[in-house]
Amino acid sequence: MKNLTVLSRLQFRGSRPIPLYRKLSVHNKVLLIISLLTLLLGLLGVIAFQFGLKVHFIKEYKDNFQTVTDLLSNRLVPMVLIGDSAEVNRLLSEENQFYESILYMTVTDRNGNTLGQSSDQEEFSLQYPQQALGNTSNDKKNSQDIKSYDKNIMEMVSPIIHDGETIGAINILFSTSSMNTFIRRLMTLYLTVLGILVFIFFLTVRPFLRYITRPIITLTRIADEISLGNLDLDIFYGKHVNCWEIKECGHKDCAAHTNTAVQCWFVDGTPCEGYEPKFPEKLEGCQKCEVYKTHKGDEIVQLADSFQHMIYMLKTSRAELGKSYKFQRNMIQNSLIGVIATNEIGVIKIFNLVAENLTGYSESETIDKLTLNDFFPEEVAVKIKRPLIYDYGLVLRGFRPMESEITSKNKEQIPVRLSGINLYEGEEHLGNVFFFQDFREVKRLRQELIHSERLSATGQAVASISHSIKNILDGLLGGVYVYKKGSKIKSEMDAQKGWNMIEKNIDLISELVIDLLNFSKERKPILQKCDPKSIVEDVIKTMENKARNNNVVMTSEYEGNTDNVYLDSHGLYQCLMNLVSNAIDASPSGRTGHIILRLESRNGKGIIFEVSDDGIGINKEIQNELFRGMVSTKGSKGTGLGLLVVNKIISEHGGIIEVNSEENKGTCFRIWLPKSSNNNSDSRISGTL
Amino acid sequence: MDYLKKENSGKRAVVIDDEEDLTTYFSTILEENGFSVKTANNAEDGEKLVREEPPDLICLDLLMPGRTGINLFLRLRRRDEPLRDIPLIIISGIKEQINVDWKDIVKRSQIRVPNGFIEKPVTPQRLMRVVNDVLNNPSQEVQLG
Repeated sequence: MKNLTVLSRLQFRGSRPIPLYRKLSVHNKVLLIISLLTLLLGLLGVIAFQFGLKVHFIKEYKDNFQTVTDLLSNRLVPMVLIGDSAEVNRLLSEENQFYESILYMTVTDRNGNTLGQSSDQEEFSLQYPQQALGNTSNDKKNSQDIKSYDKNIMEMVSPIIHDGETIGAINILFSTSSMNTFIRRLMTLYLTVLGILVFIFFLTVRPFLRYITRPIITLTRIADEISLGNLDLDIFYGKHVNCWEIKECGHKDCAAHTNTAVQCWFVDGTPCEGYEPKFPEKLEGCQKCEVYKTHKGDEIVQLADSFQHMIYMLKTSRAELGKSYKFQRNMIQNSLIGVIATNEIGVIKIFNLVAENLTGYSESETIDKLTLNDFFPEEVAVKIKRPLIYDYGLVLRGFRPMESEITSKNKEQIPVRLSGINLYEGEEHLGNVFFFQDFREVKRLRQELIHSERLSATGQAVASISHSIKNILDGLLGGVYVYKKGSKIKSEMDAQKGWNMIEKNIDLISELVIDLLNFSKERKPILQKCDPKSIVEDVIKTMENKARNNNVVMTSEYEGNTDNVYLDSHGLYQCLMNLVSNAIDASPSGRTGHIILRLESRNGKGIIFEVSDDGIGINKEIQNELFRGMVSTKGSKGTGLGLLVVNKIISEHGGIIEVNSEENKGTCFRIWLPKSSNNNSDSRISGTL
Repeated sequence: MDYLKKENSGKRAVVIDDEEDLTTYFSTILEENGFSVKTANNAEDGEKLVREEPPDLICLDLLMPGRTGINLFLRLRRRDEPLRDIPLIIISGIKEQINVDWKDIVKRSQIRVPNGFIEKPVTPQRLMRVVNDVLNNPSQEVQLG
């Protein structure tokens, strides 16, 4: 396609020859046309004049020779009647000699037979071989006729009449060379005068035409200047009229007052009465105004006025555009939000100060040189094309603020809060614009907040669990005391009782320590491919003994394909252990309690763990506080730490935990975990346990 | 401490704590010192024991599931409660206003404050010292801060 374009360009390379006429300026064209017309008319005049002269002279000849033939015919009548050829010849010869211009004369009888001639026919034929002699037809004998054989020879036939009867005819061939010579000379003079006149006309009219076309040339140059962006031009055609001086209206606040840049009828919003406020609507009214009439000039002046108005409007528009551009550029450049805009193919076109400061690039290093991909992750180029707002059809493409990263000059990935909009003008894709904020501080503060919240929660936990620890300590002290007593009084039962107390409280303090560690530690879940079913089974196995001791029956249910799930198995085990332990502790006294562990896979979208019991339940007030602080329904046995640990682990998985409970009926904890891909897990296996 | 055994011989005590190990511990200490001890692991059972056979001493934990120790304490100290003069020792891990400001509740209720208060962890010596102080001087009240 590219080659074809080049080829097609090559075909049109070079310029076709421009006709000379088109190269000429207007005044030269006018001159040329006038000159040609003058010449043409002159030539036509020559032809007409020549023709008129010829007609005039021929008439003269005819009249003259008519007189001659009239005289001759009177003298020839007797000769023709008797057929005296010799006399006729003699008479014709005499007459011929007398009239120089007569070349040859013949006389014919009524039958057309030649009776006589002025000279020997052969001699004449040698002198004028082309001429047809004595071929006068009978039909011409009855009337006078004149006929041209050559530019210099003419023939005239005149009848010889006797008693009203044509008895013969006189043919006269005469030379017109003297007439032709005269006409030629006259024409030469005429053409000379005509040439001189044309030349004088050319000399005198050319400057005049140049004067007429000068405004066009000037306006052309002005148009060229305008096209080059120069608007500081003054056009002086016609006299600028000052409306405030003519009308003396006294409106000093009028935009036309003292405005010499443009005439008042081009100025919008003049307070003149009865006029439309804006040009060109107001022009109709202005044309009746004395100011307009004072100024009104010819078409050139009007054209110049229009040019002046155009320049004024362009200046105004440019000033407004410049102001608008400066405002927008200032707004974008000094925006506290980073702005990067690209054209439709992703090349950087706008790069503001925040973007400069954040990335380390200068504006000149990026504009037209770098692309979208040099700054943002690949996903951004995809997300920017997604529909964002629908309102009876697609209105906007782009994406809402999200956490992303921007690549700096030294290839550092800086966290940003990024949003993007796809710019369209109708169907035309103009480009993309991205808005971003440095998220490092926010992230740091967020980390600090999380840390401080955790510290605060840990502090609260420490205070709260100190109570629990005191109980455990008392349990241990009690165990030791009872064991000692048993040993002292040799009571194996008491000693065993004391020992069991010690073991139980060691277990309790171990659990507490594990929960504390889990809660206070900064860690990311280590996602590994595992079978959640096995986690559930491990929990049931571990808690079996405690459940049995508390008269609780545990069962499990599985739904859907739960293979190939990426989880932090240790974290999930801890969560389920805590929930099951709570469920056992909440088991009703006096009857068998039931706990159901349910595992469900949602077609690859995630998995659900449920721990439900039919125990004492949790009242609404406590339910609302369950995951916020150290809340327990177990009195001194509980710290509330377990649920905080559960919540923390689930949050780290990006999951959700919810509780549904009714007092004295039971509680159900439901954990939803999203599906995590292997790639995701790889990127997240960076924490420590 | 054998003298204490004789002194306390025949005296009845009720120990109420949700933690079974602690009731065992405290009852063992008290029995060692001549008390006849009954234990309960929740407030309801404890109140029942107290009302069935009013003891000479009540040892009560404050934080318990269900009805709390504070609730039982307030009931036993009501103006119209015939058992309101039984010496009562609160044994709790609560020292200050962590979860429940029980001292404030007592002040606002305008009732007799507990005769004794022991903060966990409890050693046998501390328990018996407080028990004896309370029994020897039943009008003594805990100084609420």
